[in-house]
Amino acid sequence: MSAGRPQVLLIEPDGLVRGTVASVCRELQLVRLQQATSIAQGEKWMQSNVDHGLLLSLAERDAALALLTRLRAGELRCEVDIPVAVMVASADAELVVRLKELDVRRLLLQPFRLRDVVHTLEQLWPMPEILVA
Amino acid sequence: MIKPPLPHNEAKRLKALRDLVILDTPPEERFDRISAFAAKEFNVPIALVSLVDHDRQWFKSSFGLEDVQETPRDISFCGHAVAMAKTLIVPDALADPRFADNPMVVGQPYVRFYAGALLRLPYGQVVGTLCIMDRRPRDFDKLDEAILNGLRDLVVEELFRREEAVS
Repeated sequence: MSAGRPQVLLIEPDGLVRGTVASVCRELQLVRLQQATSIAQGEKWMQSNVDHGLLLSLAERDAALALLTRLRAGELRCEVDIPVAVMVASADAELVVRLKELDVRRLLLQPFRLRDVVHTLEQLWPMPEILVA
Repeated sequence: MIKPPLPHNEAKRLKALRDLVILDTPPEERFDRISAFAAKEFNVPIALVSLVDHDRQWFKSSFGLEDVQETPRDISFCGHAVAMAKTLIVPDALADPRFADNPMVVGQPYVRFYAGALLRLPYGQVVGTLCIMDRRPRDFDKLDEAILNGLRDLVVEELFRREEAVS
């Protein structure tokens, strides 16, 4: 990771969640947040950009899991082991197992608060000390 | 109670508000969705998109105060926020001389906590607030303020989407 702020891609179709999290990141100078409204748009971005993390809605569940599989297989430009957090309406045992296999670090179950999303960003992608000081 | 002072640019501010052509229009889902989201996020009973007119504050969206469309400006918390030109946070209205005997504090809806983020248009005029209220005193940290400001940004976007559509 470079000495600058980490770059994290947020793939979230809900504009209210996406826009507010992006605004909070700007105001509090957290991660550099890139935004995508769909898995297709997010994957296009990841094919040409190097992100340090992924915050992913499972609204498009199958497409999202396929993207994560390709990420972990090294088919995208980012490192294969970047931290990934997932937001989902509900999770059964099968999904939880699959997410563990894909090394998902954090699972946010809806209805979550934006505060929880921001805390996840802070914990998974902390600021370099030089920027915090 | 201390009545809210008038901002120094009140005439320009009111013109900017009128130019939005939004006063006294029906409720709209795009604003109601944001106020409902704010109420849920902060676990408060009331969240408003409040526009501060000449002698009233009028609610484009009023989660938790559905039967109230406006109140006099001189008893409004939002009037103080607009005059201060910055986010107004009142942790306990009963402990604040500006609001301790305010009719909205000592009577319905019994406001104890207030936080209002300014609806500042891109050319600088402040037309109102996105605000939340609670019936109990509470703290409001820097992250809470950033989240409220983020939701406020979405309200401003919607105000302008409308203005663009009208002009």
